[in-house]
Amino acid sequence: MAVGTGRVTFWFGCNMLRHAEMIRLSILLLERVGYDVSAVGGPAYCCGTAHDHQPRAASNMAARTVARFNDSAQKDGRSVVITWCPSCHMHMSDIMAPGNATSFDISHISEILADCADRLAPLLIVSVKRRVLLHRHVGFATHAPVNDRVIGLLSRIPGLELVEGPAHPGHMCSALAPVPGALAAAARDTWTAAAVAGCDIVCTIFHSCHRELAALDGKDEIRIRNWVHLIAEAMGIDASDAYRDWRTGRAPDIAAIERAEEQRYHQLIEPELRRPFPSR
Amino acid sequence: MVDRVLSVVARLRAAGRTADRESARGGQPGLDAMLLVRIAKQRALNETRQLPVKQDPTYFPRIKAFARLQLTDEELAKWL
Repeated sequence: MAVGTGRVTFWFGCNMLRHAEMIRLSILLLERVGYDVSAVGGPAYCCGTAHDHQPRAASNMAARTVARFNDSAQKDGRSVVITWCPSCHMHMSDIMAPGNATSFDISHISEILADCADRLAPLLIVSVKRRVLLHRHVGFATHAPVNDRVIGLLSRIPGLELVEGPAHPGHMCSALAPVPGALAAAARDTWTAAAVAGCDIVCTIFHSCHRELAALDGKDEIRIRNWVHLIAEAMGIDASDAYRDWRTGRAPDIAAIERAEEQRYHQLIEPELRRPFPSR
Repeated sequence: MVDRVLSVVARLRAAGRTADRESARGGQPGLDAMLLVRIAKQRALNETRQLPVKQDPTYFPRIKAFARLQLTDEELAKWL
């Protein structure tokens, strides 16, 4: 859906809170193409999709989130909700919006930025000399042509050579995790295709894939980047990736660990960061 | 639960949203397979109990811990 320049809500979901830089870069990209962005996410804006086993609680969460978006549309003129997370987007489209009165439209960030590609292109002034394999899933195509839109955006980056990777089932890697062997096979196929094609970057579209594939960063001298990192690089903007660096062994600084509470860091964060990637 | 899900599907169908959008199968008309899988999963979780429920009480605490690790005070105030 195309929307004009204006006031929008950027709904980044809850698991994106692991990737602060990706949230900030997404906001920045939307602002650079002319939008006035209010970014929301986290548990207070839960879509409920992670609580399928608790339908009443999930339904309440969904209703609360829709009410907040309605409020923002009516009182603040933000009648478009821009999504990042395909789970949130599909849940809103298929369950939340049909089940609750809504006064806003939704569109995925890749669609919004693709619609503004002519405004974005002049900002891409730094050559990014990388051969990039795009890690793709097909499951979100029922709702947004995200693969095509991201390909369109990346193809605007000077110096970047793009190779389409194998297309995997599901909407992102988290959909493969419950199926024995599926996640390992997808990663193996992606990495093999990247190596065969002589790529030095595997580019993720979604945070779940980024979180999983970050464990393989550096293997065969191939690095992991997200599409917003690559666009930011082309704009000459710092595009660091703390989660990827932590996942491959670097530790967060002490002050950050203290802010997260040391005990919680050891109980909740370290096991995820040190978890080996499934080999099969 | 099934009635509720079916009513949602009926509304989606009426709105033309189950069949007519670009799909992973090349834009052919048809039901949204992802949604059907979703409905089947919800039924298997909550009615037939064919799928075991995975309780993860650390789901939000883990997200919050990651957020505190990297967000600014202003961002934490807005998003947590």
